[in-house]
Amino acid sequence: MNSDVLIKVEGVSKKYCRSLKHTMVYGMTDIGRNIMGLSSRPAELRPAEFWAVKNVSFEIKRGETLGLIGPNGSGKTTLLKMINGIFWPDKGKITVKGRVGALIAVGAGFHPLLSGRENIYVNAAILGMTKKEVDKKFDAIVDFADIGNFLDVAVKNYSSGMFVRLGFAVAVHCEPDVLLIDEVLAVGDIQFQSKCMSKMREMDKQGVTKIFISHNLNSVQLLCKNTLYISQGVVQQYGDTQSVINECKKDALSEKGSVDVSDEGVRHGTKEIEITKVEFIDRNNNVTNIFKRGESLEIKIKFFAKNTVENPEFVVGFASEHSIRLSSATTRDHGIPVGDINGHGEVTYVIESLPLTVGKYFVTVGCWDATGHFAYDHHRQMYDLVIEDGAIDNRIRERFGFFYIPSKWNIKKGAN
Amino acid sequence: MTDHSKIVQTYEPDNCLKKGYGALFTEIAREIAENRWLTWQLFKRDFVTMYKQSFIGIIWIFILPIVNVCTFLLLSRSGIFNIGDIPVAYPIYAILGMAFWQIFATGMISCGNSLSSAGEMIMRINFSKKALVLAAVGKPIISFSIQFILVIVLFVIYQTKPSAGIFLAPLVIVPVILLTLGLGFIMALLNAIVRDTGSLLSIGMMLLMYLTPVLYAKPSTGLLAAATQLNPMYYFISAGRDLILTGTVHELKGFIISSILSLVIFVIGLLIFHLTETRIAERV
Repeated sequence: MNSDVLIKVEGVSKKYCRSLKHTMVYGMTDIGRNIMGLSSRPAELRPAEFWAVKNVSFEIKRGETLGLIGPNGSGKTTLLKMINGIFWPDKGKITVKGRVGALIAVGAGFHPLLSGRENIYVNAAILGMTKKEVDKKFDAIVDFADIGNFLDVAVKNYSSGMFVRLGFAVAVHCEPDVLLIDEVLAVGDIQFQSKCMSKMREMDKQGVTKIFISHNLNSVQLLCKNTLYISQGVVQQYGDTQSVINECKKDALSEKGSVDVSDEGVRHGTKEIEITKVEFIDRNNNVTNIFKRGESLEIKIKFFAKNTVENPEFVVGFASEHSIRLSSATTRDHGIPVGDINGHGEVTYVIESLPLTVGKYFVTVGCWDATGHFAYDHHRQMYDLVIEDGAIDNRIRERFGFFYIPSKWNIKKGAN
Repeated sequence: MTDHSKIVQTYEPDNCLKKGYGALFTEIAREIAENRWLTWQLFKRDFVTMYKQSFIGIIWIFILPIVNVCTFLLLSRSGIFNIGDIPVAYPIYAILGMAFWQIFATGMISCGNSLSSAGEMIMRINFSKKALVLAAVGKPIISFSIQFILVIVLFVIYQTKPSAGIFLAPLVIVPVILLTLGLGFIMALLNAIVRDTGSLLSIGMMLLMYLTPVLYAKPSTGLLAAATQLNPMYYFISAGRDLILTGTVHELKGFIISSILSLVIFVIGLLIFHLTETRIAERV
């Protein structure tokens, strides 16, 4: 194994059992066979079993972060648990170097009746820290958890936020070489989330290798160099994060449509009206997603309604690279009556002079019911829009903010 | 950053089988040694929380033996049940017996439940499951020491003097603990997979208590007498009791054989547990 590769996963598969009764019987037979020194024949499927993870391979070098995305129940957590050694693969081999920390469920192992202080020690011990380490890190943990004078209060009286903060604090302070993160950042308030993000970046600098499961594609984009897209236990895409995410979004748009890449729903809606195609068209009538500031942008939305739908509302929105909503416009705001819709059709949204500054943006396109309460088809931040300007260096683009306000400078020289 | 890069772990199906039985013992010994602090923390957690939300707290430790002893006393006084020939005041005899018996009984139950009650944790964190079972046996040991206070109180009340053998009595609990752990490891595994084990265990322990001469003297005839002859717990309890009351172990041969048996059971239980530990998380 290359000395720089910390995690190596080779053709790993894991089977699960659908029925509890079978689980018990298989559990007993497997244990029985192992005790007698026989193989438990892990590679064969028995009735009621299925492959939860199938033939997955990848490797991660020191200091790299791998994103793991896919729909619910696709095997992401199972994969993570195998890398953690919580349970073992049925086929293939996993090699992990260094101390492994896992944020699979923060606060698992907390005892509700013990105080925060007592739980820190117990939990740290469970996570593999030594007494010396905990003594040294105790203050840092308390500080990060920010639980104030609740330190000596039984954990069961904590708010859920405090509980999660304390769990996270203990977990990140065990100085892992490899950190496995499962969706935990989704909990907690904004402040805590940004605290976690900065802790992650700090760990990046220390060369911690991470695997990061998330439904939030934007944070995956921010944190991960490479991404693995898994669905139904099988790797669909593996490679550079940007291209994997693009594929993943395409998948969500494809005929099958049901491949939902996100819990919050990159795409959601009742599908009474379906948005079948979205195109960005420039001033020369070319389809592209790269534009310049001040150019015209036309967004063409093709839709289809099986049955008549009364007076829907179309929405186009823009968001920054970090998912901050910048602006949105709807047909209703503009006082445009859409009227009844049946069959195929097309809506265009035109910006004559793009006010966005250099950078990457996400475009949201949606079709909502007349009251604006539920979506027929909403594509949340599914489309990339890139604004380029050769004159501006990409590295300083943040100085320019998001919007260009049409304005002019006047300079006079030599006057008083 | 601390350097842990020497740690390399490989996970493969049937990993243990590939390494061979010889390597297993060193592996087990190392794991237990490395997890001493964890075991201690888990034990402390169990003990501290046991009586946390309770009014009379630790006094509960005295209640079960006292109730049992009183029941037997009542039954024998009313002539329903014959306790048999006993050299000392019955309460001393019974409470002493109960103290030793309870290490085994409560130990078995808490070991048996140690994995299934930690389910959540086992599924989400990778740590030494042996530490959980080992920690579970700590509670009965503490209970034993606390019950010893009751024994001393009884000696004072009945104005009896224990023999010098009382100082050797703690040695008797070593084979008891080995036996408890050996069987406990297996029960913990079974209970993690099939929950009936836990319920069976509670009933089984009660039944065994009545079948073992804990609260009565060893019967001299009949089926129970024959069964007692083969019951290692009988030898442990009577050895402990004999030591404290008379200073000698009357059935030394039985005690030694039972101790060796306990050691064997402990090793087998530990091996089985080690071999199958990795299957727990997916089944618990």
